[in-house]
Amino acid sequence: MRNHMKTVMPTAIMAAAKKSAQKSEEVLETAPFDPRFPNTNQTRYCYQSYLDFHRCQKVKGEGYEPCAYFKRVYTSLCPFEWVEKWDTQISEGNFAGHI
Amino acid sequence: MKWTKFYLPDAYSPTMEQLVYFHDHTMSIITSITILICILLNSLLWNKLIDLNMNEHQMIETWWTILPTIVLFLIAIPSLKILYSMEELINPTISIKSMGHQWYWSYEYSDKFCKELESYMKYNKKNDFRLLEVDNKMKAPFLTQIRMIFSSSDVLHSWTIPCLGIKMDAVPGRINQSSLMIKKPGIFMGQCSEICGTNHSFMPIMLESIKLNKFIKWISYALSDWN
Amino acid sequence: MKGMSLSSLKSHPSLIPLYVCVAVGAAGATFYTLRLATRNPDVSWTKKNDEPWNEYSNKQYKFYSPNLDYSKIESPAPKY
Repeated sequence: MRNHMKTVMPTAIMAAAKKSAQKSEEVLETAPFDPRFPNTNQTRYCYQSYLDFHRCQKVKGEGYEPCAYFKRVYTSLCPFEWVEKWDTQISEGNFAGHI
Repeated sequence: MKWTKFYLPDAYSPTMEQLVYFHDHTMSIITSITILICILLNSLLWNKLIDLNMNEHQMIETWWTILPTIVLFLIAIPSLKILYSMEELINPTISIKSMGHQWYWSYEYSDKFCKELESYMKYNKKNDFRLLEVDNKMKAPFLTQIRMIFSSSDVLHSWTIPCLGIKMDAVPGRINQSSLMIKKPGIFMGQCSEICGTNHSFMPIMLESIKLNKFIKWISYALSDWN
Repeated sequence: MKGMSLSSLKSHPSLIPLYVCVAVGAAGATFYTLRLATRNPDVSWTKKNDEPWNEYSNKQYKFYSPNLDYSKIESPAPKY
């Protein structure tokens, strides 16, 4: 696919660029500002969203669409290292938060 | 040597512009006070206005209490205003995480994509910026509201780019946020500003600001399918 | 000491602005500390609610915000 892209005509590249501009709306979306956490310290925004995602899944079951909001927020905000650690703790059953 | 070396670096973000204005404002006050003090000291040295019976002067005491108060307010109010507006975050388009490690920075892009960069210092080659060049530059779009997220995996670090007016501590176990709006394309450099161990001087920061579409293209190769 | 009583303050009126400044400073510092202790969700005096920041989803607790009015922004998090 990528090889093909390199050889096509400039018009196709233009079209691709246009497509990417449209795409920017869907590609670029991040955790919005939340008035609960207006300060520089965003630790709780990350942790609360992680908790909320798992609570939401517990209440509504997996695959409930609005729960995905929390997952988007915590993936945007939490360092990968933290999420990995919490995920293993949950799977091992020794996660400290109330879910 | 150029005279600009005595001044702050060129401002490439609205925050830095405000800081430069504030610096100039405060500097004008400091200069006028220094000149006034010099004039007074000079006149004190050379005049012969001696009065054995003069012990107090209520009027001048009153005024030299009130005037410094006003001067302090003139400095404090804009200072607090900038301080509080630096903490504000207006509708960010992307979040970029920056993690401090001993002794390198790593950058995580994970809004709807998943990309991780490790940014080590590059050892001196010809045409490199000595002690500032890194192997993987952090990339960010210009004229876009960015939320920068800072944390650390070991000790305290501090992510600093003087041109953009950012200096934020990366604290282990804590997430700090700072908003960033780069005004122009370019490469911006900084260094870790919190003493973090032996190689503290050798973990530079290099940020390349590029056009939004270019950034999307660059990041899109890492589009994850979790969503 | 001169200036510490009301009668001696009358003969030293230049001390009045000094006292005013000190009083305003002390009052401001006390007010801000008390505000932090009562309004800020970082501080909890009881253990009733272990996530006090959730009460601020449409309120403002920052002391000052030059550009945004947080009290008009609702938390975008969905309820479940």
